[in-house]
Amino acid sequence: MKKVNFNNLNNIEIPEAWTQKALTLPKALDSKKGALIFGRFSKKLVLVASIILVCALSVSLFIFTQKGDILNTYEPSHSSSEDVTLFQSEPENQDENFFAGGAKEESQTEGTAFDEYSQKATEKQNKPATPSEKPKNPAPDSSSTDNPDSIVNPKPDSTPPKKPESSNPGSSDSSTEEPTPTEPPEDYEVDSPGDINDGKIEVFFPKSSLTGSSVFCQIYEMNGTPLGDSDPLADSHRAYLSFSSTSVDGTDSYQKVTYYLDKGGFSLSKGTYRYCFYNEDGKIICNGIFDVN
Amino acid sequence: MDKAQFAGMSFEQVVDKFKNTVGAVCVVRLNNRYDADDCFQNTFLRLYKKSPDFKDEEHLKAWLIHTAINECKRFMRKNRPYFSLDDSSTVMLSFPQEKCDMSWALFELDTKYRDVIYLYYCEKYKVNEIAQILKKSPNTVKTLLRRGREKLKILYGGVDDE
Repeated sequence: MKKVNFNNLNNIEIPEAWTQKALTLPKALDSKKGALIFGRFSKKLVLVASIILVCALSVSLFIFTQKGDILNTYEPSHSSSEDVTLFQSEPENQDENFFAGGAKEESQTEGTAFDEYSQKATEKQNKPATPSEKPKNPAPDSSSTDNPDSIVNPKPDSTPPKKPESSNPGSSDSSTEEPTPTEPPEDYEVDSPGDINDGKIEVFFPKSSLTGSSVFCQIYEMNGTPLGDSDPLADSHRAYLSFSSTSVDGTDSYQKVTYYLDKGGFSLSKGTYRYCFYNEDGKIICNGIFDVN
Repeated sequence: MDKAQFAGMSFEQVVDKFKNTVGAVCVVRLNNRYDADDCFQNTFLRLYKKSPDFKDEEHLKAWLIHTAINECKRFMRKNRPYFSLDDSSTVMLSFPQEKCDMSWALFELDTKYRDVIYLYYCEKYKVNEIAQILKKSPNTVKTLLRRGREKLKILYGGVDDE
Protein backbone atom coordinates (compact mmCIF):
# COMPACT_ATOMS: atom_id res chain seq x y z
CA MET A 1 0.00 0.00 0.00
CA LYS A 2 1.45 3.25 -1.04
CA LYS A 3 1.41 6.10 1.41
CA VAL A 4 0.44 9.35 -0.11
CA ASN A 5 0.71 12.82 1.36
CA PHE A 6 0.14 16.47 0.64
CA ASN A 7 3.55 17.66 1.63
CA ASN A 8 3.84 20.01 -1.29
CA LEU A 9 0.64 21.60 -0.26
CA ASN A 10 1.61 21.72 3.37
CA ASN A 11 4.89 23.31 2.51
CA ILE A 12 3.42 25.87 0.24
CA GLU A 13 5.34 29.08 0.65
CA ILE A 14 3.42 32.16 1.45
CA PRO A 15 5.16 35.16 -0.08
CA GLU A 16 6.56 37.65 2.31
CA ALA A 17 4.69 40.38 0.50
CA TRP A 18 1.43 38.82 1.54
CA THR A 19 2.46 38.93 5.15
CA GLN A 20 3.70 42.47 4.96
CA LYS A 21 0.58 43.57 3.22
CA ALA A 22 -1.57 41.83 5.78
CA LEU A 23 0.32 43.65 8.51
CA THR A 24 0.27 47.06 6.94
CA LEU A 25 -3.35 47.02 5.84
CA PRO A 26 -4.74 47.45 9.37
CA LYS A 27 -2.37 50.35 10.01
CA ALA A 28 -3.43 51.96 6.80
CA LEU A 29 -7.00 51.35 7.83
CA ASP A 30 -6.41 53.10 11.14
CA SER A 31 -4.94 56.14 9.47
CA LYS A 32 -7.75 56.09 6.98
CA LYS A 33 -10.31 56.10 9.76
CA GLY A 34 -9.11 59.50 10.86
CA ALA A 35 -9.42 60.75 7.36
CA LEU A 36 -12.79 59.14 7.13
CA ILE A 37 -13.90 60.86 10.29
CA PHE A 38 -12.92 64.20 8.83
CA GLY A 39 -14.31 63.18 5.49
CA ARG A 40 -17.59 62.20 7.01
CA PHE A 41 -17.59 65.39 9.03
CA SER A 42 -16.93 67.45 5.95
CA LYS A 43 -19.56 65.49 4.09
CA LYS A 44 -22.03 66.27 6.83
CA LEU A 45 -21.04 69.89 6.66
CA VAL A 46 -21.59 69.93 2.93
CA LEU A 47 -24.89 68.14 3.39
CA VAL A 48 -26.12 70.60 6.01
CA ALA A 49 -24.95 73.54 3.94
CA SER A 50 -26.72 72.12 0.91
CA ILE A 51 -29.93 71.67 2.87
CA ILE A 52 -29.73 75.23 4.19
CA LEU A 53 -29.03 76.54 0.72
CA VAL A 54 -31.93 74.64 -0.76
CA CYS A 55 -34.23 75.89 1.98
CA ALA A 56 -33.08 79.46 1.46
CA LEU A 57 -33.61 79.16 -2.26
CA SER A 58 -37.04 77.68 -1.72
CA VAL A 59 -38.03 80.48 0.63
CA SER A 60 -36.71 83.14 -1.70
CA LEU A 61 -38.47 81.51 -4.62
CA PHE A 62 -41.66 81.38 -2.61
CA ILE A 63 -41.36 85.04 -1.69
CA PHE A 64 -40.58 85.95 -5.26
CA THR A 65 -43.57 83.98 -6.43
CA GLN A 66 -45.78 85.73 -3.92
CA LYS A 67 -44.50 89.09 -5.09
CA GLY A 68 -45.16 88.03 -8.63
CA ASP A 69 -48.71 87.16 -7.69
CA ILE A 70 -49.15 90.54 -6.08
CA LEU A 71 -47.87 92.22 -9.19
CA ASN A 72 -50.03 90.06 -11.36
CA THR A 73 -53.08 90.86 -9.32
CA TYR A 74 -52.18 94.54 -9.29
CA GLU A 75 -51.59 94.91 -13.00
CA PRO A 76 -55.10 94.05 -14.15
CA SER A 77 -56.57 96.51 -11.68
CA HIS A 78 -54.16 99.13 -12.93
CA SER A 79 -54.99 98.41 -16.53
CA SER A 80 -58.67 98.29 -15.76
CA SER A 81 -58.45 101.74 -14.21
CA GLU A 82 -56.78 102.92 -17.38
CA ASP A 83 -59.52 101.33 -19.36
CA VAL A 84 -62.09 103.11 -17.32
CA THR A 85 -60.27 106.35 -17.76
CA LEU A 86 -60.06 105.86 -21.47
CA PHE A 87 -63.59 104.81 -21.63
CA GLN A 88 -64.67 107.87 -19.76
CA SER A 89 -62.51 110.08 -21.86
CA GLU A 90 -63.92 108.80 -25.12
CA PRO A 91 -67.05 110.91 -25.12
CA GLU A 92 -64.96 113.98 -24.41
CA ASN A 93 -62.66 113.17 -27.28
CA GLN A 94 -65.58 112.50 -29.50
CA ASP A 95 -67.06 115.82 -28.59
CA GLU A 96 -63.83 117.52 -29.37
CA ASN A 97 -63.64 115.75 -32.70
CA PHE A 98 -67.20 116.56 -33.38
CA PHE A 99 -66.80 120.25 -32.82
CA ALA A 100 -63.53 120.28 -34.65
CA GLY A 101 -65.24 118.78 -37.65
CA GLY A 102 -68.40 120.76 -37.40
CA ALA A 103 -66.85 124.15 -36.88
CA LYS A 104 -63.13 124.42 -36.63
CA GLU A 105 -63.06 127.59 -34.67
CA GLU A 106 -66.20 127.05 -32.76
CA SER A 107 -67.00 124.61 -30.09
CA GLN A 108 -69.94 123.97 -27.98
CA THR A 109 -70.47 123.33 -24.37
CA GLU A 110 -71.81 119.86 -23.89
CA GLY A 111 -73.08 118.11 -20.86
CA THR A 112 -75.85 118.96 -18.51
CA ALA A 113 -77.68 122.06 -19.48
CA PHE A 114 -78.21 123.23 -15.98
CA ASP A 115 -74.73 122.63 -14.74
CA GLU A 116 -73.32 126.05 -14.16
CA TYR A 117 -70.06 124.64 -13.01
CA SER A 118 -69.40 122.92 -16.29
CA GLN A 119 -70.61 126.00 -18.07
CA LYS A 120 -68.04 128.16 -16.36
CA ALA A 121 -65.36 125.59 -16.99
CA THR A 122 -66.23 125.56 -20.64
CA GLU A 123 -66.12 129.31 -20.75
CA LYS A 124 -62.60 129.23 -19.49
CA GLN A 125 -61.51 126.64 -22.02
CA ASN A 126 -63.08 128.16 -25.09
CA LYS A 127 -61.85 131.34 -26.60
CA PRO A 128 -64.35 133.68 -28.16
CA ALA A 129 -64.16 133.80 -31.92
CA THR A 130 -63.91 137.00 -33.80
CA PRO A 131 -67.27 138.36 -34.93
CA SER A 132 -66.03 138.82 -38.46
CA GLU A 133 -65.76 135.14 -39.11
CA LYS A 134 -68.58 133.75 -41.07
CA PRO A 135 -68.84 130.04 -41.52
CA LYS A 136 -69.66 128.88 -44.97
CA ASN A 137 -69.99 125.21 -44.37
CA PRO A 138 -69.80 123.73 -40.96
CA ALA A 139 -69.11 120.35 -42.57
CA PRO A 140 -69.89 118.16 -39.62
CA ASP A 141 -67.90 115.03 -39.13
CA SER A 142 -70.14 112.20 -40.11
CA SER A 143 -67.98 109.68 -38.37
CA SER A 144 -68.38 111.32 -35.04
CA THR A 145 -71.24 110.95 -32.67
CA ASP A 146 -72.97 113.67 -30.86
CA ASN A 147 -73.80 113.97 -27.27
CA PRO A 148 -77.07 112.15 -26.79
CA ASP A 149 -78.24 114.90 -24.49
CA SER A 150 -78.42 117.26 -27.39
CA ILE A 151 -80.49 114.92 -29.55
CA VAL A 152 -84.17 114.80 -29.31
CA ASN A 153 -86.02 112.76 -31.82
CA PRO A 154 -88.31 115.01 -33.76
CA LYS A 155 -91.76 114.07 -34.74
CA PRO A 156 -92.47 113.40 -38.37
CA ASP A 157 -92.38 116.28 -40.76
CA SER A 158 -95.97 115.76 -41.59
CA THR A 159 -96.85 117.29 -38.31
CA PRO A 160 -98.08 120.76 -39.01
CA PRO A 161 -95.77 123.29 -37.48
CA LYS A 162 -97.08 125.50 -34.87
CA LYS A 163 -97.17 129.12 -35.54
CA PRO A 164 -94.73 131.13 -33.59
CA GLU A 165 -96.09 133.14 -30.79
CA SER A 166 -94.69 136.17 -32.38
CA SER A 167 -95.34 136.44 -36.06
CA ASN A 168 -93.01 139.30 -36.35
CA PRO A 169 -89.48 138.38 -35.58
CA GLY A 170 -88.43 141.91 -35.71
CA SER A 171 -90.65 142.86 -32.88
CA SER A 172 -89.06 140.25 -30.70
CA ASP A 173 -85.68 141.81 -31.04
CA SER A 174 -86.70 144.75 -28.99
CA SER A 175 -87.91 142.52 -26.21
CA THR A 176 -84.61 140.75 -25.71
CA GLU A 177 -81.84 141.91 -23.54
CA GLU A 178 -78.88 142.20 -25.75
CA PRO A 179 -75.33 142.23 -24.50
CA THR A 180 -73.24 145.26 -25.05
CA PRO A 181 -71.82 145.44 -28.58
CA THR A 182 -68.28 145.70 -27.31
CA GLU A 183 -68.63 142.41 -25.52
CA PRO A 184 -67.82 139.49 -27.82
CA PRO A 185 -70.42 136.81 -27.92
CA GLU A 186 -69.69 133.57 -26.17
CA ASP A 187 -70.44 131.32 -29.02
CA TYR A 188 -70.09 128.00 -27.34
CA GLU A 189 -72.49 128.39 -24.52
CA VAL A 190 -75.41 126.14 -24.88
CA ASP A 191 -77.50 125.92 -21.82
CA SER A 192 -80.04 123.68 -23.24
CA PRO A 193 -79.92 121.02 -25.91
CA GLY A 194 -81.98 121.49 -28.92
CA ASP A 195 -85.49 120.34 -28.51
CA ILE A 196 -86.91 118.87 -31.69
CA ASN A 197 -90.58 118.85 -31.09
CA ASP A 198 -93.49 119.16 -33.43
CA GLY A 199 -91.35 120.17 -36.37
CA LYS A 200 -89.44 122.83 -34.56
CA ILE A 201 -86.13 123.15 -32.84
CA GLU A 202 -86.11 124.92 -29.53
CA VAL A 203 -82.88 125.94 -27.93
CA PHE A 204 -82.24 127.95 -24.83
CA PHE A 205 -79.39 130.39 -25.13
CA PRO A 206 -77.92 132.54 -22.47
CA LYS A 207 -78.82 136.03 -23.26
CA SER A 208 -75.22 137.01 -23.02
CA SER A 209 -74.45 134.95 -26.09
CA LEU A 210 -76.96 136.73 -28.25
CA THR A 211 -75.21 139.80 -29.54
CA GLY A 212 -77.96 140.77 -31.88
CA SER A 213 -81.63 140.49 -32.29
CA SER A 214 -81.55 137.80 -34.94
CA VAL A 215 -80.72 134.11 -34.75
CA PHE A 216 -80.52 131.81 -37.75
CA CYS A 217 -80.66 128.06 -37.99
CA GLN A 218 -79.25 126.00 -40.80
CA ILE A 219 -80.03 122.32 -41.27
CA TYR A 220 -77.36 120.14 -42.72
CA GLU A 221 -77.20 116.60 -43.81
CA MET A 222 -74.66 114.51 -42.02
CA ASN A 223 -72.27 114.85 -44.95
CA GLY A 224 -72.31 118.60 -44.52
CA THR A 225 -74.70 119.47 -47.35
CA PRO A 226 -76.88 122.37 -46.28
CA LEU A 227 -80.58 122.05 -46.80
CA GLY A 228 -82.47 124.95 -48.29
CA ASP A 229 -80.67 128.17 -48.88
CA SER A 230 -76.94 127.70 -48.63
CA ASP A 231 -76.62 131.05 -46.91
CA PRO A 232 -77.21 130.37 -43.22
CA LEU A 233 -78.11 133.99 -42.71
CA ALA A 234 -80.89 133.88 -45.26
CA ASP A 235 -84.30 134.86 -44.11
CA SER A 236 -85.56 131.35 -44.55
CA HIS A 237 -83.23 130.24 -41.79
CA ARG A 238 -84.28 132.86 -39.35
CA ALA A 239 -85.26 131.54 -35.99
CA TYR A 240 -87.58 133.20 -33.54
CA LEU A 241 -86.77 134.55 -30.18
CA SER A 242 -89.51 133.82 -27.80
CA PHE A 243 -91.11 136.63 -25.88
CA SER A 244 -91.56 134.29 -23.04
CA SER A 245 -89.27 134.82 -20.16
CA THR A 246 -89.52 131.15 -19.31
CA SER A 247 -86.08 129.80 -18.94
CA VAL A 248 -84.46 126.55 -18.05
CA ASP A 249 -83.38 127.65 -14.63
CA GLY A 250 -86.36 129.73 -13.79
CA THR A 251 -84.48 132.94 -14.32
CA ASP A 252 -84.63 135.34 -17.17
CA SER A 253 -80.99 134.93 -18.08
CA TYR A 254 -81.82 132.55 -20.92
CA GLN A 255 -83.65 133.13 -24.11
CA LYS A 256 -85.54 130.44 -25.94
CA VAL A 257 -84.93 130.35 -29.67
CA THR A 258 -87.25 128.43 -31.93
CA TYR A 259 -86.75 127.41 -35.50
CA TYR A 260 -89.53 125.86 -37.51
CA LEU A 261 -88.27 123.17 -39.82
CA ASP A 262 -90.76 123.82 -42.57
CA LYS A 263 -89.62 127.40 -42.86
CA GLY A 264 -86.59 126.58 -44.90
CA GLY A 265 -88.58 125.25 -47.82
CA PHE A 266 -87.18 121.76 -47.68
CA SER A 267 -88.52 118.47 -46.57
CA LEU A 268 -86.77 116.12 -44.20
CA SER A 269 -86.81 112.48 -44.99
CA LYS A 270 -85.98 109.78 -42.51
CA GLY A 271 -82.45 110.09 -41.23
CA THR A 272 -80.07 112.04 -39.09
CA TYR A 273 -79.43 115.73 -39.58
CA ARG A 274 -77.40 118.42 -38.06
CA TYR A 275 -78.68 121.78 -37.00
CA CYS A 276 -76.56 124.81 -36.44
CA PHE A 277 -77.61 128.12 -34.93
CA TYR A 278 -75.88 131.32 -35.95
CA ASN A 279 -76.12 134.77 -34.55
CA GLU A 280 -76.56 137.68 -36.82
CA ASP A 281 -72.82 137.97 -37.14
CA GLY A 282 -72.67 134.51 -38.65
CA LYS A 283 -71.04 132.89 -35.69
CA ILE A 284 -72.14 129.48 -34.60
CA ILE A 285 -73.72 129.65 -31.22
CA CYS A 286 -75.13 126.15 -31.07
CA ASN A 287 -75.14 122.99 -33.10
CA GLY A 288 -76.24 119.41 -32.71
CA ILE A 289 -77.85 116.52 -34.48
CA PHE A 290 -81.34 115.14 -34.50
CA ASP A 291 -83.10 112.18 -35.98
CA VAL A 292 -86.14 112.12 -38.16
CA ASN A 293 -88.01 108.86 -37.85
CA MET B 1 -4.64 53.00 20.76
CA ASP B 2 -4.43 49.66 22.52
CA LYS B 3 -3.36 46.78 20.38
CA ALA B 4 -6.07 44.22 19.83
CA GLN B 5 -5.52 40.79 21.24
CA PHE B 6 -6.66 37.66 19.53
CA ALA B 7 -6.62 34.64 21.85
CA GLY B 8 -3.80 36.23 23.72
CA MET B 9 -1.87 37.08 20.63
CA SER B 10 -1.26 40.31 18.85
CA PHE B 11 -2.31 40.79 15.30
CA GLU B 12 1.24 40.39 14.06
CA GLN B 13 1.61 37.16 15.95
CA VAL B 14 -1.64 35.84 14.54
CA VAL B 15 -0.54 36.66 11.01
CA ASP B 16 2.81 35.09 11.54
CA LYS B 17 1.41 31.94 13.04
CA PHE B 18 -1.50 31.26 10.73
CA LYS B 19 -0.31 32.73 7.47
CA ASN B 20 0.50 29.29 6.04
CA THR B 21 -2.85 27.86 7.00
CA VAL B 22 -4.85 30.78 5.64
CA GLY B 23 -2.67 31.01 2.54
CA ALA B 24 -3.02 27.31 1.83
CA VAL B 25 -6.78 27.43 2.22
CA CYS B 26 -6.98 30.28 -0.21
CA VAL B 27 -4.65 28.64 -2.68
CA VAL B 28 -6.49 25.33 -2.53
CA ARG B 29 -9.76 27.06 -3.00
CA LEU B 30 -8.79 29.43 -5.78
CA ASN B 31 -5.76 27.80 -7.34
CA ASN B 32 -4.58 31.25 -8.24
CA ARG B 33 -1.90 33.21 -6.43
CA TYR B 34 -3.22 36.66 -7.23
CA ASP B 35 -6.71 35.85 -6.16
CA ALA B 36 -5.42 34.00 -3.15
CA ASP B 37 -3.44 37.05 -2.20
CA ASP B 38 -6.58 39.17 -2.12
CA CYS B 39 -8.49 36.67 -0.06
CA PHE B 40 -5.53 36.26 2.25
CA GLN B 41 -5.45 40.00 2.93
CA ASN B 42 -9.20 40.21 3.33
CA THR B 43 -9.22 37.39 5.83
CA PHE B 44 -6.77 39.06 8.16
CA LEU B 45 -8.32 42.42 7.56
CA ARG B 46 -11.65 41.08 8.64
CA LEU B 47 -10.04 39.67 11.72
CA TYR B 48 -8.60 43.06 12.54
CA LYS B 49 -11.88 44.87 11.94
CA LYS B 50 -14.15 42.53 13.80
CA SER B 51 -11.79 41.57 16.58
CA PRO B 52 -14.00 38.76 17.83
CA ASP B 53 -13.39 37.03 21.12
CA PHE B 54 -11.73 33.67 20.79
CA LYS B 55 -11.61 30.92 23.36
CA ASP B 56 -8.23 29.68 22.34
CA GLU B 57 -5.93 29.38 19.39
CA GLU B 58 -7.89 26.50 17.89
CA HIS B 59 -10.92 28.62 17.93
CA LEU B 60 -8.99 31.39 16.26
CA LYS B 61 -7.60 29.01 13.68
CA ALA B 62 -11.02 27.57 12.90
CA TRP B 63 -12.40 31.08 12.55
CA LEU B 64 -9.62 32.03 10.18
CA ILE B 65 -10.16 28.96 8.03
CA HIS B 66 -13.87 29.50 7.91
CA THR B 67 -13.40 33.18 7.10
CA ALA B 68 -10.83 32.40 4.43
CA ILE B 69 -13.17 29.93 2.74
CA ASN B 70 -15.99 32.46 2.84
CA GLU B 71 -13.70 35.11 1.41
CA CYS B 72 -12.81 32.77 -1.40
CA LYS B 73 -16.44 32.01 -2.05
CA ARG B 74 -17.24 35.71 -2.05
CA PHE B 75 -14.36 36.41 -4.37
CA MET B 76 -15.41 33.69 -6.78
CA ARG B 77 -18.96 34.91 -6.70
CA LYS B 78 -17.90 38.45 -7.55
CA ASN B 79 -15.34 37.53 -10.17
CA ARG B 80 -17.08 34.65 -11.78
CA PRO B 81 -17.56 36.27 -15.20
CA TYR B 82 -13.93 37.18 -15.39
CA PHE B 83 -11.54 34.49 -16.48
CA SER B 84 -8.31 35.25 -18.22
CA LEU B 85 -6.74 32.40 -20.12
CA ASP B 86 -3.56 34.35 -20.71
CA ASP B 87 -2.75 34.84 -17.08
CA SER B 88 -3.82 31.40 -15.97
CA SER B 89 -0.62 29.75 -17.01
CA THR B 90 1.45 32.12 -14.95
CA VAL B 91 -0.61 32.28 -11.82
CA MET B 92 -2.00 28.79 -11.63
CA LEU B 93 -0.29 26.68 -9.08
CA SER B 94 1.46 23.66 -10.39
CA PHE B 95 2.77 20.87 -8.29
CA PRO B 96 5.04 18.13 -9.52
CA GLN B 97 3.37 14.82 -9.98
CA GLU B 98 5.35 12.89 -7.45
CA LYS B 99 4.64 9.36 -6.55
CA CYS B 100 3.64 9.99 -2.98
CA ASP B 101 2.49 13.60 -3.16
CA MET B 102 -1.05 14.18 -4.28
CA SER B 103 -1.08 17.92 -4.05
CA TRP B 104 -1.34 18.24 -7.78
CA ALA B 105 -4.31 15.83 -7.85
CA LEU B 106 -6.15 17.85 -5.26
CA PHE B 107 -6.54 20.73 -7.63
CA GLU B 108 -8.22 18.48 -10.09
CA LEU B 109 -11.08 17.94 -7.71
CA ASP B 110 -14.08 20.10 -7.23
CA THR B 111 -13.71 22.78 -4.58
CA LYS B 112 -16.16 21.14 -2.22
CA TYR B 113 -13.91 18.08 -2.08
CA ARG B 114 -10.78 20.14 -1.85
CA ASP B 115 -11.89 21.81 1.37
CA VAL B 116 -12.65 18.67 3.29
CA ILE B 117 -9.66 16.73 2.00
CA TYR B 118 -7.31 19.57 2.76
CA LEU B 119 -8.71 20.05 6.23
CA TYR B 120 -8.73 16.36 6.90
CA TYR B 121 -5.34 15.43 5.52
CA CYS B 122 -3.32 18.61 5.79
CA GLU B 123 -4.76 20.41 8.80
CA LYS B 124 -5.52 17.13 10.54
CA TYR B 125 -9.04 18.10 11.53
CA LYS B 126 -11.53 15.49 12.46
CA VAL B 127 -14.84 15.06 10.73
CA ASN B 128 -16.79 16.79 13.45
CA GLU B 129 -14.38 19.70 13.49
CA ILE B 130 -14.55 20.01 9.74
CA ALA B 131 -18.32 19.96 10.02
CA GLN B 132 -18.20 22.82 12.51
CA ILE B 133 -15.81 24.85 10.43
CA LEU B 134 -17.70 24.37 7.22
CA LYS B 135 -21.09 24.62 8.92
CA LYS B 136 -22.07 21.27 7.53
CA SER B 137 -23.22 18.07 9.05
CA PRO B 138 -20.64 15.40 9.84
CA ASN B 139 -22.33 12.98 7.48
CA THR B 140 -22.01 15.47 4.67
CA VAL B 141 -18.36 15.84 5.49
CA LYS B 142 -17.95 12.10 5.52
CA THR B 143 -19.65 11.81 2.16
CA LEU B 144 -17.51 14.52 0.71
CA LEU B 145 -14.42 12.84 2.06
CA ARG B 146 -15.40 9.50 0.60
CA ARG B 147 -16.21 10.88 -2.79
CA GLY B 148 -13.07 12.98 -2.80
CA ARG B 149 -10.96 9.97 -2.06
CA GLU B 150 -12.58 8.05 -4.85
CA LYS B 151 -11.81 10.81 -7.28
CA LEU B 152 -8.25 11.07 -6.08
CA LYS B 153 -7.92 7.36 -6.46
CA ILE B 154 -8.99 7.58 -10.03
CA LEU B 155 -6.63 10.46 -10.65
CA TYR B 156 -3.73 8.81 -8.95
CA GLY B 157 -4.21 5.53 -10.76
CA GLY B 158 -5.99 3.34 -8.30
CA VAL B 159 -3.66 3.83 -5.40
CA ASP B 160 -5.42 3.77 -2.10
CA ASP B 161 -4.45 6.25 0.51
CA GLU B 162 -4.37 5.55 4.14
